[in-house]
Amino acid sequence: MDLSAPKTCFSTDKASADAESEWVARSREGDSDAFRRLVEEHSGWLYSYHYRLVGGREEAEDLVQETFLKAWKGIGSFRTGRPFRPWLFAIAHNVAHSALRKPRKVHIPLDEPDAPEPADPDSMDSRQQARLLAREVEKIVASLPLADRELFHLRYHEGLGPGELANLLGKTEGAISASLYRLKEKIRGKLDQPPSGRTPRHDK
Amino acid sequence: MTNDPKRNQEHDLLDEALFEAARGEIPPMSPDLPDRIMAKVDSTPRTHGRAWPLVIVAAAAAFLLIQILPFLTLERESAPSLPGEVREISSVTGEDIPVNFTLASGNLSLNVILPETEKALSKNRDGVISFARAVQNTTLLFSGQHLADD
Repeated sequence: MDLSAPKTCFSTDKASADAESEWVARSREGDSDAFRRLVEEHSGWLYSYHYRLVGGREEAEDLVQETFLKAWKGIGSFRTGRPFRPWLFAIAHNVAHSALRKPRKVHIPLDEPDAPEPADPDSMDSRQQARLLAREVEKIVASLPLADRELFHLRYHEGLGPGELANLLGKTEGAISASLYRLKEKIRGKLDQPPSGRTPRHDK
Repeated sequence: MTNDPKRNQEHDLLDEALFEAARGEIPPMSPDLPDRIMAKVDSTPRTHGRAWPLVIVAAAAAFLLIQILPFLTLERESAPSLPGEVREISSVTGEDIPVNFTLASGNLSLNVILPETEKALSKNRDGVISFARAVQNTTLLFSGQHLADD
């Protein structure tokens, strides 16, 4: 399996980057049609990011909307020639973190239907074992603090490497590598615990 | 990676599970979300360009206003309205300023060189009024330099 994930939502080819620069420039002049192109281009990954952090579809869509409204209001302060996506991500990051600081509805899932009897892992191939493990990982990630969920999403969903994460989150590459290591060990540790021993998340 | 093959196998499996978990369980976004966003955008005013030039202009204007405010205030203020004494400072404009006092029983005109700071101006203004009280019923031209030195 290729874990390097060379193309990320933050890496674009030159043609796309040129087109995007033009949309940004026209948006700065107040052209809302050009801004619509930016919305269409970026709403997908922004939605995934917000969904991973807040865990609800409607709330995630509200946060995508708020992110773009702030971007529209502030696009005059965007420095032309700089990459647009990290700038947009910084807005999304602030929107998500400030939304999660406020009191909010908590989604409490109803009791899950009885799961089918798990198959014997020894009889599964590695792909099936990884899928089984992934379902456990999803539950564990949902219980992690906000910063961990954000890091998990950016690393494993968007496929960003430590260098890109460092630029995006304003930390050193070493600090990011250490955080990624701790995150993985935390997940591994919780996988070794029985489900009842896993503590719920606290968004602080 | 370690030299332990079993540990390495677990490591690979966990990595694969992490990527697999990150890919799953995100319901699709509403297809009309971009339209809803644009409806909001179209009704939202925004700033064109950086706001800091406006801030600098506003700060400069405020600074200038503070500098000239004492002169403007002096023009509007009324002196104590006692019978036979100064009622009003009717005009103060520019440097080497003619100050016209209206007295109950006559007019007094002065040329006053006002200092720049508000504090000194306030002090001088009191001096001007005191002087006007002393010379009521008189009209004369007076050099304010004496007051400034006071």
